[in-house]
Amino acid sequence: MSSDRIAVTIIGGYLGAGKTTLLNHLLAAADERVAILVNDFGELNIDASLIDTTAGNTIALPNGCICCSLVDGLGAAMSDIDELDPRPERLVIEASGVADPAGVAAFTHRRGYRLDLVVVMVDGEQFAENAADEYVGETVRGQLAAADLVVVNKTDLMDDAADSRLDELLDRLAPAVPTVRAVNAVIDPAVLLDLTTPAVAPQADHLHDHGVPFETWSYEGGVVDLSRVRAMAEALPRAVVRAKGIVATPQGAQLFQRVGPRWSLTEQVTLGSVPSVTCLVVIGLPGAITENWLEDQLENSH
Amino acid sequence: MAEFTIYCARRVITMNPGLPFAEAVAVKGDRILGVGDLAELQTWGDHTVDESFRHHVITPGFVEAHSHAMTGGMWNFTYLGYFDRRDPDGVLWAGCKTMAEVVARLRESESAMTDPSEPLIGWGLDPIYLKGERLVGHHLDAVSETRPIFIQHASGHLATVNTALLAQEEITESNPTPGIQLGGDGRPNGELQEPAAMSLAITAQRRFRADLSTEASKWNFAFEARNTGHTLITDLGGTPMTDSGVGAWKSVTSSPGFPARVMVAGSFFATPMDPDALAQMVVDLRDNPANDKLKFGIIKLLLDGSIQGFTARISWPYYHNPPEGNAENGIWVMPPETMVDALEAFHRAGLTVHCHCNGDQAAEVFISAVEEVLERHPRWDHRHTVQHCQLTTQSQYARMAALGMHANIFSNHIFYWGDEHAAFTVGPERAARMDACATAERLGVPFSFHSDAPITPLGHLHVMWCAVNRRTASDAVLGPDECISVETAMKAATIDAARQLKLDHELGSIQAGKYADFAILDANPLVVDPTELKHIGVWGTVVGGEKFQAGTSR
Ligand SMILES: [Zn+2]
Repeated sequence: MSSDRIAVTIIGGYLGAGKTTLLNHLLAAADERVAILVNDFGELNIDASLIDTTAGNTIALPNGCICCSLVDGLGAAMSDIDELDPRPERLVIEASGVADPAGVAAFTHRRGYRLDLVVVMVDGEQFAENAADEYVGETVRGQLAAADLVVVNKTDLMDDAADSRLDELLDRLAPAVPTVRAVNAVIDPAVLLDLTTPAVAPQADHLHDHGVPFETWSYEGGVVDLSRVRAMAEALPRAVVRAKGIVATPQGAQLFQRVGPRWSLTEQVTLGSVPSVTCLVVIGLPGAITENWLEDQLENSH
Repeated sequence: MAEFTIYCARRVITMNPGLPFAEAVAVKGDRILGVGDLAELQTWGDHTVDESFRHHVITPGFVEAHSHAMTGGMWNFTYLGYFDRRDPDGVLWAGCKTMAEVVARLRESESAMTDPSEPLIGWGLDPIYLKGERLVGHHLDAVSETRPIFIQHASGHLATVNTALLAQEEITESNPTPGIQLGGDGRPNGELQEPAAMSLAITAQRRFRADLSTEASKWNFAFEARNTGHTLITDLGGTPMTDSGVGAWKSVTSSPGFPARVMVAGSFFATPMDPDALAQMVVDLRDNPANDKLKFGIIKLLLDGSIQGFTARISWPYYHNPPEGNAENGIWVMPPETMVDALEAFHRAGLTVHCHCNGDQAAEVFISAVEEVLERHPRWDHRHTVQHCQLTTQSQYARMAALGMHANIFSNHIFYWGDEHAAFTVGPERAARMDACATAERLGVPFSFHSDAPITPLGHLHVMWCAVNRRTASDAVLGPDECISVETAMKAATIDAARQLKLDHELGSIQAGKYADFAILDANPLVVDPTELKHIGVWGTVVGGEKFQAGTSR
């Protein structure tokens, strides 16, 4: 039952990139029951008041290589969270500053869970230096590999030259991943949480509180060829963060989901009549696609 | 009534350079009253003479400064390893040499189980030694088609499960978890590689974990210590620093007949907490001991992974012949730049920090952090220890000596993975200088060595054999210039290990006033052919004046 699965959000990035700040923003915005796993040393810097309001649970995650612990810390914690009552709807994992988010994401394809989003925080001021470091460079660069969304934080501390150097670096290391810029890790939480259909369009009144505004696009139509949907999925540009919807195809209904560069089509079991309505919603950076882009992709012949 | 007991032996090896050998040792209560010949000891007064060790050699009880208590818990599950291994009760489990023997042993375990839903768990399987076809899920189906079966391999990085388990946990070919191996038919064949895939076996893993931390597993850990001549063992970082984690240790060590002393490290990774709070907690535990068998005072930190897993942080030219797609270098478990802050908290609290550094780059971070913290807070005799210390270079050993650091060297690696290190991980030159006990000795770094049980079996006679002979599993000699003498190895196994743990004032050698903690051996390690060290029989131990014979039940 995919709807019963706990959605997993992974927040990665090197030390000082703003992971905990983003986590607190996310907790403030979520109206789901959220459990939190923090895979880091020392104090937990999570805002306790937020945890109460989301009826969530914070579990500090033991760390260590299996060679030395033989104990599967992350898997164990996820087993415990799966048995919480009430069961959370979302698990947010704040990975340690040296963790590989891909390695964390590898644990999410288990009974009871589904991977929703891997967001990797980048310290705009420090990233280039860290990425070139003999000791941590490979770790820092590698963290981008699994990202669905990169948030470049502390952009207020960067000059234009640093900004364009960072762009080049990110184009090279994460060429397909949408990248947004932020100050104090403030981004619109709409992209951090699941899209529902119809769209949870960001409310006009909170846009200015939430840094970069995102734009949403929606599409409603009839039966579409499956190959068209696939082509559209591949063609969605990098600046799109999420897309979701039900696609009516001659073969039946398909659930389409795209998070960052990852997308999937899953057959939907429909009862009774053959589905005839396609309904999609897309969220991304302003101007990521044009108003008619979805229509062009799905309807017009090329 | 006699006031004390004199044990006469073929030889008493004291590890006290002032009186290295004797024929008898007198014990009063839990302490050593004196060492010498019988006539000298009789001058202390009313006594009995105990002749039971007349034909044995008494040495200080071995001190294992890097092991893990979960060692004892493994025996709740079926042993499937290639090498013969003795369980805590002393039963010798013959190694499984063929797949048929693996299946037969599992069948035997299966037939003894009553609850049909309980997973059958095995451990220690090492497929590289099994000839012929690789063991996969359908071979395990011959044991049971309905009961989930989970087999953990010796490396800890692989598991093989049966079809019933795949079905129970919904592990299918469409699951994107890396490490689910597929068979010729395109479906999962039962082999799960690396922790993420292994963790898909949710129910079996949960059972496995639960059994590793029970009080029974702590008793078994101590029984294994007794069987191998250890009187002090370390739980280096597996115990969560919680009331229940520490309480379980207080409970077992306070029970009559617990056959070992245990040093429990404050773990910075088993329970994430503020370093200052953890430091204070360990200081309190050290200064208010629950009993004489439970010791505190050290902190375990982890910096990198393992060399055989290609996850240790090593310097250029990095890995020699890594698997395709492998990263250039290993992983950090702790961000290197947080090392100084973490170390500072424990250093200032007067604790000794033991940091896992398999690779030389990890050792570099730790040594540099010790240097920086010492500049800020000079402190004599801290004994901060590089744990594993496998690739530490000459120049690093020289710095460690200058900084007052100790080394705990993973000498068992030479036998278990030495061939792999030469061929794949670090290449022949660096493999030859791995686990460099002779360099440590030459440059004046006090050192011990270890098994890291359960990674390799607990047993200092085997570790000594490795450090002295440096023979690999294929019987090649790896770096003969790093071999040490048996005398040095005996120090590393006893007094120098005790010193590293700051317990050398009360144990580690046989002299008046110390705990009466002995290993009772069938032969004299200083006299036997050094290639025979690992075959020396162990009668058992004496802990605090109480005899514990190997292979007996509780
Ligand atoms: Zn260890």
